[in-house]
Formats: sequence, structure tokens, C-alpha cells
Amino acid sequence: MQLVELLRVLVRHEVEFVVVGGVAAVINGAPVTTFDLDILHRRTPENVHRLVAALTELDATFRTDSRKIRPTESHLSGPGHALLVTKLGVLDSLGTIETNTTYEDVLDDTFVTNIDGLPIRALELARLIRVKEQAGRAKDIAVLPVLRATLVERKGS
Amino acid sequence: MDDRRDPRPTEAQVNEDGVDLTLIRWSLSLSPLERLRVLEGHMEFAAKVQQARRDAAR
Repeated sequence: MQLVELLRVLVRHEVEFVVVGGVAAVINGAPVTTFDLDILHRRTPENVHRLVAALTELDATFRTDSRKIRPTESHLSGPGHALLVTKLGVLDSLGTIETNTTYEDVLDDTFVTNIDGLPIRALELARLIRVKEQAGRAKDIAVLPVLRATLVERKGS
Repeated sequence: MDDRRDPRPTEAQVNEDGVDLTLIRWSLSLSPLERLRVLEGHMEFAAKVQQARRDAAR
């Protein structure tokens, strides 16, 4: 998985997105691991067009379908999750998170950080904790103690 | 301050949930890029282990 290079392709295509999930936790300083990159993409027609261009460069296909179907603008314009595999690793491109929460909805709970010269927008740790609390899945609950402890350590430093 | 001294062994520093706070402090000392590079290393290691298990099963 070449996370930084994957992010570089998205930024080069000027895709508007927020890094969420485990990679957002790592960017925030939490010592957790994950095996995919989750992004919440903006669903305007212009941005979805740019996202499809980036995904084409990345040779993205749906990993949930053995026919190796490529994501289209139609697939990415809705609220659902596109679970993809690319030549640089596994990528989940989410139309919404939580209960129909969009890119625009979370912007106030994000920050932009410089990663190898790339301006990367990621979900704030406190919001990420709320997202995982709401998701309530075993894998989300398991990581919550580390995320909460990281938040406490950051406030104390 | 003599920085040639060996670091002393210390008590484990964990919170009430058993979370290793030294690991968090170390992670917070890294830049976001360094954190992602560490994660990439974990992913690469896991992929190699999975491949080795597949190879062994053949």
C-alpha cells in the first residue's frame, strides 16, 4: 500500500476529499493500524468528474465484484460507499458517513495538514471518535480506547 | 546533561484501559508524513506475512 502516492494522485487531480477512518486516526497521531484508505468525497458533479479521472489513473476497480468493474460518475454521485482496489492499494471512497453526513457537513470538523508537500484534509480526532462511537461495530469499538487516550495526550501536550 | 547515559528501564505507562501511553507519545512526536510511513511499513509487513502463509499452504 502506497498511501502517500495514492494521496498524491488524488491531490494532483484536485479532488476535494476528507481523509476519514484509520488513516485519519494515524494522521492525528493515534498509533493504530489499518489496511485501507477511507475518503469522504465531495459529491458535486465537477468533483466526481475529477475523482473518476484520478481513479482511472489509479486503475481502480470495485473489489467487491470479480468482474473488475471500474467506478463511474454514476457510482460516485450517490451516498453509498465505493469499495475499491487500486494499483497503489485499497481505497474506500465514501459518499456519506454516519447517517447521511456529507463532505460539506464535516468540513468544520476537519483540518488541513502538509504531508510531503500535499495539502491533505483530515477529520479531527474528536469527530472521528464520535463517528466510530456511532458506527458501533466491533472493529470501531476496539480502537476507541487508543483514540480517546490520544486525544487526552494531545490536550495535555 | 550527559546524553551518553543509557536510558533507564521504566515502569509501563498505561492508562485505565491498558493503552500504552508511551506509544501514543512517540506517535505524537512524529510528523504526519512520518506517521503515514510507519503505517505503510505495517501494511507492507502484513502483506508479506499473508503472502508467506499463502505460499506455505500450496
